[in-house]
Amino acid sequence: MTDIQKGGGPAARARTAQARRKRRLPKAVKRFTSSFNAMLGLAITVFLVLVALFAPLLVHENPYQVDFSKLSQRLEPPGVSSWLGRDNFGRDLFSRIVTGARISLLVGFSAVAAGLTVGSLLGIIAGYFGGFVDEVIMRFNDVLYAFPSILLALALVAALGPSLTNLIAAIALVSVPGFARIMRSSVLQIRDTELVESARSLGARNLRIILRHVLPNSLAPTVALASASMATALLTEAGLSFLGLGVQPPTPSWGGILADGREFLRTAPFVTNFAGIAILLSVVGFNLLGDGIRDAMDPRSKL
Amino acid sequence: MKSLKAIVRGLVAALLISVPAGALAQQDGGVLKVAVVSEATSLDPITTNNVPSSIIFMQIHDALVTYDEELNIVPMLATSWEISEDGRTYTFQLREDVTFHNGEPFTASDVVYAFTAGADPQYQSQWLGRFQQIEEIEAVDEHTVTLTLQAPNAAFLDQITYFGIPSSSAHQEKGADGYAIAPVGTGPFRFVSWSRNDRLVLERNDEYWLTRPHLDGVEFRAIPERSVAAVELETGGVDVAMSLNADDVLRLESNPDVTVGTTPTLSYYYIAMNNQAGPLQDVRVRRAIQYALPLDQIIDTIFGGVGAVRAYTTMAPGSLAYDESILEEIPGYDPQKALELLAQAGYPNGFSTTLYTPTDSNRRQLAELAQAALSLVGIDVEVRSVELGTMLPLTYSGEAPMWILGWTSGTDPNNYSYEMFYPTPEAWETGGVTYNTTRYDDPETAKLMLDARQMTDMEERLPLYRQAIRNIFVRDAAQIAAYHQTFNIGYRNGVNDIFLNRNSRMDLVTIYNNVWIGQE
Repeated sequence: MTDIQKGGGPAARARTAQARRKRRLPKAVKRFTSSFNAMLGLAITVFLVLVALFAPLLVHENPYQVDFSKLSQRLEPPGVSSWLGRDNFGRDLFSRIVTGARISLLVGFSAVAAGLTVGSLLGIIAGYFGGFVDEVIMRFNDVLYAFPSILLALALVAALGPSLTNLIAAIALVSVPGFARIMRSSVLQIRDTELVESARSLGARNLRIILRHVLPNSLAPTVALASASMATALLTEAGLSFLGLGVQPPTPSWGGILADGREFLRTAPFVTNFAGIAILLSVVGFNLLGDGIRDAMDPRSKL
Repeated sequence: MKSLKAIVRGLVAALLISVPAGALAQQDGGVLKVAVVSEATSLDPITTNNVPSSIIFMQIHDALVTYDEELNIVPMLATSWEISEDGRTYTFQLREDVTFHNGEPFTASDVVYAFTAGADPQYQSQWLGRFQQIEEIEAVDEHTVTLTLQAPNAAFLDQITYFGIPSSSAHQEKGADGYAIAPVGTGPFRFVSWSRNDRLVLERNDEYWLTRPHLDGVEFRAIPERSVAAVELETGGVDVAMSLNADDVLRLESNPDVTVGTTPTLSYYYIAMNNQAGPLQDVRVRRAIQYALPLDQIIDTIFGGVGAVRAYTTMAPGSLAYDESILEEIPGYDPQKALELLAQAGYPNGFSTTLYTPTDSNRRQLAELAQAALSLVGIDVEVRSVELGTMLPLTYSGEAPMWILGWTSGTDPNNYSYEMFYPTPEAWETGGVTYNTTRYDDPETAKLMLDARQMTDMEERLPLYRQAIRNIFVRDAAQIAAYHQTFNIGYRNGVNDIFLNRNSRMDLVTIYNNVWIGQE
């Protein structure tokens, strides 16, 4: 009797596990806020998101359209009329980089969201059902993993043709295997534990077990990976746009600005510098944020 | 008459060669390191006729005829030639003292082999379009060749000035693919090695029949980024950078270690439109586009006044058929007129189209500025920057509505009119290779160009070409002429006697120059 009361029945055990998870959260927040790197990452990320959201208010010149009356001001260095200088068509670089943030984050968020959804779904199916299904999904996953991500994205966009949707699709596909792996291992960790067995013995269906028990357990590593994937996605977007396979002109993108500026590297280095700084800042921001979340949620694990 | 003139020219050329030999303190030795923009595709002159390849294989091979400094056609491997009364048969006398790099003598059979193979469809030669006009070629004796055209073509010699003659035995033995990476010619330099995407090495041909080259050898490196090539030039990584950006030209001019050589060229770059599909079929729409583009400003922005001059037609300033009176007849920048014409043509709200451009910076910028200007009159342009190999088939098949290309083809006005605008209905039907990708089809203009091609007196030919060009660019607005590129090349001090010719080529060893390295 005492045994049952202390350890609890299956239902009680499931409840205890959930309660433990809830207690873990405030500690994680505390760990996160006390880490300088994590807070820096958060600050940069929030800053970027705000810039992207309010881009139309910040921009004071048309970032797309070439103004033929300003062509003569091409490659004008940073100054009063344009804080970051002007590009080779006389467009205000500040307006273009701010608008570029919008494009980059849009590509990054959409691609990671799509990659996360598809990857997690595959990981759950593979982990939960195991056997032949697991084998097929994970081998397909391994094939995707075998390519360097930028190469795979490059090949996809080259085959599909450069456009915003194709770019997002390619980056999403590249991020699928990471999420699938993380989700599968989380599922495997928990699938045969008493917690899940108790839930099952209480008559819970697969879907309920996955939603109530498996998903919450894999939340920490997934969020951390999502943030790191944002950094990779931004870098891939910049890389593909640099090669002319990403966002097409006249839409500004950091990679595109960088590529166009490279011809004038010796005479107007600020064009490439500012685009490069924007890319660097965003990649560092999302990486720090991802690391911070990971360390806070589970100090022992390393991704 | 013609042959006498040729002999005299040959003698003059021979004199020119012998003069500089002892006159200056020229010295032998040294390997010239050259940065080129694009990698060669093949070193086989029989199958290949693109500039990046030609500038290299013409160091290894010689052609029957060549240009002098003023781009007149003068003897090379042929010492003289005679053209028959009907203008169809050419009889070439060949040099007797020439040997190939493999030691074999150069004879009439090599010439017959080269032209026959170039016209043979099995090789899919880039010369095919030109050599199909050859009805017959035969060796009369060891050093005499007769060549008969289906119809007279006054531009024929001009069209073969960069057709190098390979050793027929080497070409037969190795096949076109094998020969492409191990050529054997009669030229000033022998082929040594070629590791793709790295370097291509040539060494002096000690037995060169024309003169002894001063250079020990030449090393070509393909550096596609012009700004990188400029940095290599400054740091001494290369001795010569074959093509410079306008911004780098201005910067390098103040560098005491570097000389910038500049020459205007006959090249022609243009925005093409498919004249037989979509809204662009309507001459009013095409003229509206002429009105909508502030080309003077666009060209000045991209090339900073040093990289190119604005083009009005295919004919560059200084070319034979250049016609100043046509300039003011070409519509200038007037967006209001453009809007009116579009409304008349039934597109008051504009339309959408696609503009293809090769990936180089100059043409990408042209595409983006054209996109910006056209959007102001309601034409929504999608710019697609693609490799040439992807783009050309789209222009042959007629799928591409608008695209940007360049054209450079010797000096004869025929090559800048007939070759680009004479109707080729068969190729249009099948999507086959044609130079008239604009699908310009006007019987009156076609007759002018055909007549001019079949006449021998240049003075009589020119008015016909001028009328044809006026029809194409003023009356029919068939194409948007954009610019004639200026050939800008940078070379380090100590490189002497480099000659830039107006076909966008840098000459190393010719009848009028012989590059050497060393301080004067």
